[in-house]
Amino acid sequence: MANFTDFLQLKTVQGTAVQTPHHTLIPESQALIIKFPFGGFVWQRPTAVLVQQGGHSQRLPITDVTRLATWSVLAASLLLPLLLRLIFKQATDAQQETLTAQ
Amino acid sequence: MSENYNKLLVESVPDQQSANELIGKLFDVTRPDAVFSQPVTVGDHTIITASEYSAGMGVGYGGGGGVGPAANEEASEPIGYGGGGGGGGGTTARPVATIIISPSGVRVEPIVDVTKIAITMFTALGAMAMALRKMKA
Repeated sequence: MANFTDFLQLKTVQGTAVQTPHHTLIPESQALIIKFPFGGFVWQRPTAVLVQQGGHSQRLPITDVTRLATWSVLAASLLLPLLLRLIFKQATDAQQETLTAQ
Repeated sequence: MSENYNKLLVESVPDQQSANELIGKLFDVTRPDAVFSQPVTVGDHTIITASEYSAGMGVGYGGGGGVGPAANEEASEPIGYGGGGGGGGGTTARPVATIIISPSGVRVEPIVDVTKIAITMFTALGAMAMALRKMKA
């Protein structure tokens, strides 16, 4: 029987270390793999870089500002009309209540 | 059904195998080397570019055949058979950040794609305007 991981995989991989005179860098990336019987899809993004210097290790995360901004804009475009509708509806209801009271 | 049809099916098997091998190669590229560029050194500084990439691929093939009614008594077995296949794929890549290594330290500088953000913003504004117009109506 086919396993779920045969179709969908999310894995974090570390690359070969890059040596510079002062530092050693190890790149880290994340890959999403979707396999179909007659095709597939791969999405890979850099996640961090591990910096080693004199026995001291530091992890510097890589933030995709463009992706963050585009998703924020899309989320705002979905939420803002809903929010405006709620505000508009509340205002209309309040207006109608005032008219009925009069 | 017929020898020809069987031959067609047998001949298509190696093509299907090579297509599957090609799909297999798509998943072999999930190495960090594909995301991080080779370091470029200029003076005391070394620069590595980190990019995001996505790739997709698909193939399809099929074949078939059949026996029709004889046009006349002399035609023994009028048959028809055929097969075909096709495939497609695409890749996209986008730089995400630059890693700058200098004697003073290592820093990660993000690369902002202003054009992409602007296109998303204008599309979102258009969608919002349409949604608000529908709400008012």
